[in-house]
Amino acid sequence: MKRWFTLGLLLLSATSLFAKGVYQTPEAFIQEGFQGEPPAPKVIWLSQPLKETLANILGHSYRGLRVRYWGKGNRTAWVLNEIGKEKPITIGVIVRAGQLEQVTILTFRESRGGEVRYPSFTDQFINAKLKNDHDLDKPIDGISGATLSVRAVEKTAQLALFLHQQTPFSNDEAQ
Amino acid sequence: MTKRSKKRHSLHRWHRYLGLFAGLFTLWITLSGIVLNHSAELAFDQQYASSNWALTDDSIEASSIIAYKSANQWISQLNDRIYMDTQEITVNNSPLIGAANFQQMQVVATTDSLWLFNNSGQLIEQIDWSLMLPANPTRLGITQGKRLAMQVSNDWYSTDETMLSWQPISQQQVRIVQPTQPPQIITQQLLDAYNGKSTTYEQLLLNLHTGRIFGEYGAYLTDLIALILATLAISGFTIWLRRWQ
Repeated sequence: MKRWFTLGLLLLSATSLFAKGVYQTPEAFIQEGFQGEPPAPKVIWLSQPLKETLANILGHSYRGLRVRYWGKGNRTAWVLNEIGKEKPITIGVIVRAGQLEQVTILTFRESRGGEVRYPSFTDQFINAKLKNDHDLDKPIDGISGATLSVRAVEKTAQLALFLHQQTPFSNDEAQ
Repeated sequence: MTKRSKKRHSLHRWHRYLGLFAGLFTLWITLSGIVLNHSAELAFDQQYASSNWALTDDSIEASSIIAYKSANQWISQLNDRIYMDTQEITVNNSPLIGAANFQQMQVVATTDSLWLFNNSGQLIEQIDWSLMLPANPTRLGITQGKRLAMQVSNDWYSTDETMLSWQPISQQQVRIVQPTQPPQIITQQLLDAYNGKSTTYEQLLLNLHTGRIFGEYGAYLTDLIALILATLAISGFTIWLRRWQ
């Protein structure tokens, strides 16, 4: 009886238990993104106008004065944190020629909304570009019960696309 | 009274008593649940309960403070909060392993990340260690050449002013940064700052909703109420079915 009771409780809390976790380390993401030969990291220092644009994209001020990234050819890789409801979600983004190539949830720390880690959600971002108003040029389907996490991933994707435009690697878009 | 009607009477009686018992708790759980559903709109996740009775397991004592003196500032950690003197500069669950002033920046090392702050507590950058070192470091040090160094297992690595790449170095070149007990006045201000911001109204409501406000066994009480409610649904359906038949 006790065993069944415990099993029942475990099943009830399974959703939140399984949502949290490290799915890929940032290092593994960067290694994989550049086929095991990642370039040396670079940084973008955020001027006041840049910080204002980032704040417009995120809906709140960006926490930090510089952003680290990896770039080669016409591709850049970003490891960014954005808060879903209370805790930061670590998201890896690769941009190629101004389009999203990959969006991966690296660490999810909240108890709800972990469904954003599934490829069925993140694959929607592939090939999305930034419009002039800094929105994505394609709609992203939400996930019921994960609104804030979905929003955090979308904002991060927009942020990475905008930051890519500020790097020298955006000049290689024709490649 | 026949055996069957005795059984039915007994089911009715149990259903009634369980209902009366669970009724009070149901009110408590439903009301707290409704408010919890709207806690973000009510900004309960950003307001802190400052009364002592609300500070349950999350309040903290002076012995829990990990602190490092960095230039003329104190970098301390209390549970998941990191402070520069008494200003909260970030929230992080990983243990603080060192802090040092480097290139006009306050470098704060936790086991999972390197945090760079300016001297007024504004974050410059947070970098995951896995992007720079072969594994998570355990100690922070300063080299004879005044460069930042981190210990990973038995090896030491140092970096230049850009903090973009780290190179292996010999341990003899490193002075290890040790934790220190902050002065009493800083300790007290830190405890006041932490304990005044340890429990949001949302957390308080959640503790009330789950029964954890009653301590270790509170959650079991809520489990019991949930089981009684499930039993009531079954007994109620059985009574209705018998009457309908």
